[in-house]
This record gives sequence, C-alpha cells and structure tokens, in this order.
Amino acid sequence: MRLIYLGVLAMAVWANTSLAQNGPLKIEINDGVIEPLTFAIPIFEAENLEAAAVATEISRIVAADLISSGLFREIPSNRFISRRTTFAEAVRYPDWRAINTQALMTAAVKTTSSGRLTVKFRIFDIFSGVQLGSGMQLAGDTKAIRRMAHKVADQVYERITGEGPYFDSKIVFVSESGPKDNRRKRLAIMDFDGESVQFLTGNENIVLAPRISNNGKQVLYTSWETGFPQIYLLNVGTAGRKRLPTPKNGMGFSPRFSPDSKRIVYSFERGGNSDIYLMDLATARSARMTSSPSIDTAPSFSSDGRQIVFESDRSGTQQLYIMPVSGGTPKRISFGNGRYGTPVWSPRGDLIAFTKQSNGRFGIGVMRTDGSEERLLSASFLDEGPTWSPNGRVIMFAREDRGPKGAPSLYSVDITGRNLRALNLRAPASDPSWGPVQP
Amino acid sequence: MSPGTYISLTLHAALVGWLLFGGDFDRKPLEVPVTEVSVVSAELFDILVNNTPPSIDTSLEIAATQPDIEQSEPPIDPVMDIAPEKTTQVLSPNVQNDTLPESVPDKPVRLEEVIIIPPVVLAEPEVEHPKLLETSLAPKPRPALRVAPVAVAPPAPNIDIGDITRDAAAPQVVSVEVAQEQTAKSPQAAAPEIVTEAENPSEVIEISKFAPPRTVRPQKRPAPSPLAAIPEKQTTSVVAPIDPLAVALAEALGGADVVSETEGNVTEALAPQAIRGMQLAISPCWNLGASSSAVLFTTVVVGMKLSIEGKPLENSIYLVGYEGGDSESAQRAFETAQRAIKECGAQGFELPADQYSAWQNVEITFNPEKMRVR
Amino acid sequence: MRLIYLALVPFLALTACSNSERDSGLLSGTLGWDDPAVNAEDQNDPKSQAFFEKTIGDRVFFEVDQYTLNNSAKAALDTQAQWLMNNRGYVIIVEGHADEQGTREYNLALGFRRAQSVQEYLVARGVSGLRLKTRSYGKERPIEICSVERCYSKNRRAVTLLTAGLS
Repeated sequence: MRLIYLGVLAMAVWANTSLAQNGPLKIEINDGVIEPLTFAIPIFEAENLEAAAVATEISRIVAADLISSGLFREIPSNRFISRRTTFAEAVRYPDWRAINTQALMTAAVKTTSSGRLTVKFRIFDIFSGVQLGSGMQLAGDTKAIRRMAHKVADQVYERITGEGPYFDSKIVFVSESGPKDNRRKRLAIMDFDGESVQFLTGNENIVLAPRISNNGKQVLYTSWETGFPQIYLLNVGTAGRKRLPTPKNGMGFSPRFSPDSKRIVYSFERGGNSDIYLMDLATARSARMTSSPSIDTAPSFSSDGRQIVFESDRSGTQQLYIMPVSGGTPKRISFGNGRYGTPVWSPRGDLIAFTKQSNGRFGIGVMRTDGSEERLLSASFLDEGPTWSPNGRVIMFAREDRGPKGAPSLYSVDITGRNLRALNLRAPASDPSWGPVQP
Repeated sequence: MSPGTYISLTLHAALVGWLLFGGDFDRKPLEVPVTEVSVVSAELFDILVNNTPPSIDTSLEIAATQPDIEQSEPPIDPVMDIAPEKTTQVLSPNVQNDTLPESVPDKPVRLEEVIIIPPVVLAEPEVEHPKLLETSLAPKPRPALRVAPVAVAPPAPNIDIGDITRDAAAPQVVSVEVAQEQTAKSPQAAAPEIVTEAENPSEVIEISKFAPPRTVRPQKRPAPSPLAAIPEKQTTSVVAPIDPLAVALAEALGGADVVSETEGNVTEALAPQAIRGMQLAISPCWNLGASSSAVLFTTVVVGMKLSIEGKPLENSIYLVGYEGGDSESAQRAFETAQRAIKECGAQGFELPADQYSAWQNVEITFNPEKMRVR
Repeated sequence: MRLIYLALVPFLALTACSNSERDSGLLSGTLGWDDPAVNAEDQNDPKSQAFFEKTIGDRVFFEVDQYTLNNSAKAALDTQAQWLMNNRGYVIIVEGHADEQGTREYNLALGFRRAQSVQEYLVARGVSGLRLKTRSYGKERPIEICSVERCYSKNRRAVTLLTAGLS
C-alpha cells in the first residue's frame, strides 16, 4: 500500500515539477474557413485639386485588382460608418468592425504640374486593431496611373497574403478576328487585366504561341510569314523581329525561353518527325535534345533552367516528360487517364501546369514536378495553353466554344481551383503568355 | 487589209512573240505581296537584346558560319501563305461575327517606357488613440459563474486505491515531453476520439497532445464556493514545488484537505467542453482565404493572456513558435491567427472564472493541414 | 493572217480572264516551264491545276490521330502520282492539317506527319522528291467548322498543292 502511495506521489511530483507553474492551457485549432478577406478602400485623399480624378481612378483599379485575385471581397462604400477625409486621421476601428471590414486601406494622391504623381498608403488590420507595416509611398508619372495602381495593389496583396506580386505585369497573346475557317491572327500585348492592348505584328500571316522572356523584353513565336512555320524573335519595345535560323531541311516551331533568356528550346520537324532542340541565342547554334520517332513538342524550361518538360507520344499517347537540359533520358511524369500537352513549369518551381484531354473534353490541370497530386482546375469543350502568373498563384489559359461561332477567350483561375473568371477583352484571344512583374 | 486588221495583227504578233519567246529573258519572280518586316539591324538588335557588341552576321542566313552538328538553311522562297481552297467560299474576312479591337494601327505601336520609383516606407506611422481600440459594441452579459457539471464528492481521508488505479489507466503519458515543446508537431489525427461530456468528463477529449498532463489524482471539484477555492489555489500556487509533496503526503497519510497544487493546477480539470467551446469559437474566425500557399503549410503556436472575462488582453498575443514555413509565412500565419482570436474573442471566451488560473495563459496551435486545397 | 488570228483567239480569252484571289493564274506562272501555255482555269483541261483539284482530287483524309494512309487514300494518291508525273512542271507542296481535337503544337506536328506520309508515298510512286516540299498548318486552317465528326473528318487532311516551279 505504502509503495503504491509513494509511487503515485513520485509521479505527481515528477509531473508537476516538469510543468511550469500554472502552465498555459494548450489547445489546437485545425479547422477554419476559406473565404475572401473583406476590405474597404475609402476614396483616396486628393492632396491637390487636380489629383481628385486620379485618386478615384487609382482607388478603383486597386480595388478591382484585389477583387480579381479572388482572395478579397470589397465592402461597398455605402455601408461605411466612418467618413474619412484625410490621410492622417486616425482609424476608428470599431466603426470598421461593425461592418465586418477585416482590412482597410487609406491613401492620398498628389500630382504636380510637371506631370509627377505621388501615392502614399497605409493598410490596417481592423480586428487585430493594428496597422500592418508602416505604409508606403510611390512616385511616378501621371501617364503611369494604371501601373501605379497595380503597384499599390501588389503591395497590399503581398503584405496581407504573403504571396508575391503579380498585378503590375503584361501578357502577350494572339488576338484573333474573322471566321473560324479563316482566322486572322496577330501578336498583341496588354496589361494583366486586359487594358492597354497594343499590337506587335500585323495579321497577314498566321502567328502562334508567343512566349515572353523573363525580363519582359522579347517574345518568341512561330509564324508562317515565309509560307512555312519558322521561329521568330521579337523585341517588345520596338516590335522589330527577326527569324531565328534553324537547322537545314526542316521547320522550327513552338520556341520557349530559358529563364535567363540566353537559350531557347523549341520543336524542330524534319522528315515528318518533331524533336526537341536547344539553341544558344548568342551563337544561334542548335543542339538536338531528343531523337525518337515520336512527336516531341511543346517544351518548357524549369524555373531554375536545369530541366525541361515537354510532351511526347512515345508511349502511344501524348504524355509529359522531364529531362535535364544537359541531356539524358526523358522521364515520364504523367500517368492519369487521358492525354497531356502544353506543359509549363511554374515560376515557383513547385508545379507544372498542362492541358489534359479525356473523354472528349479539355481541361487545365497542375501536378507536382514528379507527377504526383494531379488536379484539374478547369474543363470545357476546349481549354488549352496555360501560362503562369509571375507569382505562381494564378493560371491563365484560352477557352474556345464549339461550332462555327466558337471563338477563343482568355480565362484565369487560382491554383486552388477557385475564382475561375473570364478576362474582359473586346476581341477573341488565345495563346497567352504572362510576363514578369515590371520593375 | 484594213488598218484595223493591220493593227490587230501587229498586236497579236507581238503577243504571240512575247508568249513564245518571252521566256528567253529572265523571268521576273512572282510579284508576291511581301509583308513589311521592320527588321532591326543585327547590331542594334544585339545591343538591345544581348548587350553584346555587334559581331554577328548581318543577314538572315547563317549558313556558312554555322559550325557543328546542325547547319541552318537559307531563307525559303517567299511562297505566300495560301489560304485553303474553297469551292464556295469567298475569302473576304467576315466581320459580322466578331468585333475587331478598337485600335488597329497599321504598324505595331511602340510601347511607352514608364518608370515608377520603387516604394518608399512612410516616415511617420499612424498614431492610435487607445480608446479607439475598444469595441464600441455593447458588451454581452457575462454568464453566471459556472459550476462543475458533475459534482464529485471529496474523497474520504482513506483513499481508495481502486479509484486511483482506475484513473491511472486514463492519462496520457506523453504529455510530459509534450509540455516541453515549443513548436507544434502536426498531429496525424488532430483530435482523439470524441467522448461526450456526459459519459466521461474526466477523460481528456478533443485536446491536443500538448494538453498538460493529467495526474493520477482523481478528479476533485471543490465545493461550490469559488471564493474559498481561489485563495486556496493562490496560496498553493505560490509555494508550488513544495506543496504537492506536502499535500500528497498529507493525503496519503490521510487528513489533509483535498485541494492540492496538482488539483489547483486544474488545466487537467478544466472541463473539456470549455476547451471545445473555445475551439468552436475561434475556428469560424480563422480565415485562410487570403493567405499564400506557403502559409497553408505553416503551423503556428500563438500565446496569449486572457482577462477574467475571458477576453484576450491587449498586446498579449504573441508568436510562440512555428513550423513548416519560413519566417515570413509564419508572420502572415500569425496574423491570421491573431485576427481569429481578436475577432471571435472580443466578447470573451466562455470559460469558468473559478478556474481562471487554468486558462489565464493559453497557447493555441493553428494547424492548417486539413485546410489545404479544399 | 486569219488563221494566225484564229489561233491566237484562245490567248485573247486567256488575257481576259481574271485572277482569282487564291489561284496564281497563268500570268503568275503556275505553268510549268516546259508546257505550252494552256488555260489553267479550264477544268476540262487535263493539264490544269483546276483539273487536278476537281477531277484528280488533291487531298486525302485521315483517321483521328492517325497519319497512316488507308486504302482509299492510297488509291487517291496513286492517281495523283500519275498525274504529277505526267505534268512535271509543278513544284508540289504537301500540306498537312489536323482537326481541332488536340492542342496546338501537337496538331502542328501531326500535320507534319500527315504531309510526310503523303510525300513518302508519292515518292515511292515515282514522283521526284526534288519537286516535293511539306508543311503543316495544324488545326489553324479548318475547312469545316461545325465541331462534330462529320466536319472533323474533312479537316484531317493532307492537300497536294501545285505551285510555281523554281526558276
């Protein structure tokens, strides 16, 4: 009996001396919600009269950017309790809490007669009752209102979510017109939100599948300018272009940049067979990477530039393969039920996006670089040609409807599969290629 | 012959002559409409593109200078991009079904170079009036002090061994090392089996393995006199290391008051439903919908102090530790946790005031494992 | 004189004819160098391009994802080959196409394969390889756009185009 008492006592002492005095209550939360964060952007203060219109425009663009990401939901201004008039005034947290605002952004805009523009802003976490960070100020040109707004939105987005920015970026794509059996195609470039479309080529020849470089300055694409498909390099700033020389007796197509823009990888057809080739841009020398009687095409560099992923039908159907740039045996990574094509490596390096065909439908999907955790993010009659946002969080692709009236348009989707939305362009568009965040 | 015939003949002879013998002269190549290619000179191009001094050939053909494996081919005859033949279709673009983009310049438009100065951190942060931090909403009436759901009679001075051994089966032995841990390990199943409170209040339910240890002491609830209980706990807590021994000895020897430090340390005695209530209160406010993918892989442990009303004390919420992400993701994850606590804890959590010392300090592990890609 | 005049009448008719947009026509030199000038627009002229297209048949079709020639394709190509060898002035471009049931690059490559199949077959039948080029348009130039099989089958094709000979 005593022994048991002592044993119990010992355990009690042992347990208690190893505990802090009144040790904290420990609980675990492993369940929560996934909802857009509510935010409010009261109209920016205009520090001078002329800045008023600019202030309004910038505040609307910032709000639109955040909403377009799918991660934020705006509290409309007609529900505001507090009326803010100046940038410096304190935030009345209870007023914002009362209308369930989780994040608040305040800002002020100033313009000068010389065409300069200054925006300063602060972000507040309403329920935590603190300012996030110290606020920021950007300066630029009044011609750059949209870019300024995107930069501000990127800061807010980055500070709250922890993701990298992506709003201040451009997308190269193919603008289409005409009936389905006589399409006119031309290269174009636009802001990520579909504004400021400008053309980079005429539409006399078929142009396809442009790819923008990591510094946003050049575009590779395929064109039938000579009557036969060839690969071209175009300078975004000047729209000047030149044909890249490819080996004899064949045709090059579907070229893509390496991350450092010094090399390209492309498909080369000779004698009916298409293989992957690597070209050094400075010397224009090409080396062959695959040699098999199968169709090897649509190659894409990994984010570290050491590997490529491409599609090949060497197994009988189109599947995805990766191989080192220095050479080696391609390794298959797709094993699902269907066909896989147009692979693109995420700039974060963690995922590969692709077009998948099965049961007569197309969809955009992602998988880990070893092929695991495959997920479909979209499906329709014809979805194809994914491209990654610079922060690796959003994928844009083209969707086309069936039939004679079918015309392609651009869609984007979050990598969680949420927030599938159409880009609001006035004309049909396809083959998007998302450029970097501009400096 | 008439002059007309003569003229006609001459013309036709000329025509025939041209047809028959025209080929003797060089045939002009096809007048094919050639696209205007604004080719930038190679020098300029290389300066623009490669930042290399121009040393590359100035024509599109590389042919002769192409060493090694593959030779490039000279430009092909400019054969026009011939649209497919149609018997019935007229090849004029049908503009009825589509709208051309607004601006259709003849030539590609030069893009403007727009420079934006990188962001600069503002000098003066916002100054907050402390009063503004309080909620202006009417406070909820506090619930009455809670009584333990199941009253357990104080033990007889002679402790029944049987009780002890029965309880000894229940506690989780791992809890000691767990208490030492700062960071959370993601538990495979976050919660052990759920046992309703009615069945077995003394078992630890829905608590992570970080829950402080249960001792072998049988569950004891003080008689419903909180005032009496608290001072006792306070005194015992002050002399914590010594008391358990004394008390245990006293108990073992039969005669001491049942309230001991181990019992005073009533984390193990805190009703599981109170803990569950706190979890259920916080969860709906824990929103990861505006968080990066990296945050969804980061587990954070957040510590805080609560007031006697169960409200998180100002400036007492802090990051205890994190796992699975880098420091930036941890900071973002912490912010989501802080929002959850403050949003859903503003009215105070429902916790028994008579066990305040048990829950005055709380450490919450926020584990997003189950929330990825839902 | 009259006889010469009469003999020249066909040439008059020829000069009066208009170029269609797609067809280069006589004046642009679709004629082979060796052949006497003939009316290329006359479908009844067995040496004309129009005849080749309408009567001989300038295209063959393929099964989904296939680039091998089935029997009817081979038969059609036999006829093509014969005509091509009797009309040696043309340079030939074999053009491969695909339907829209595939991704862009893959369909380009498939079109190349189809063109190659036809080219190899024609060469095997005696057409000189020097006269043959290939190219692909993938799914970019469909003939039929109804997005069901009866249209798709028309788009999965390889077309034999007659073009100017090299000078």
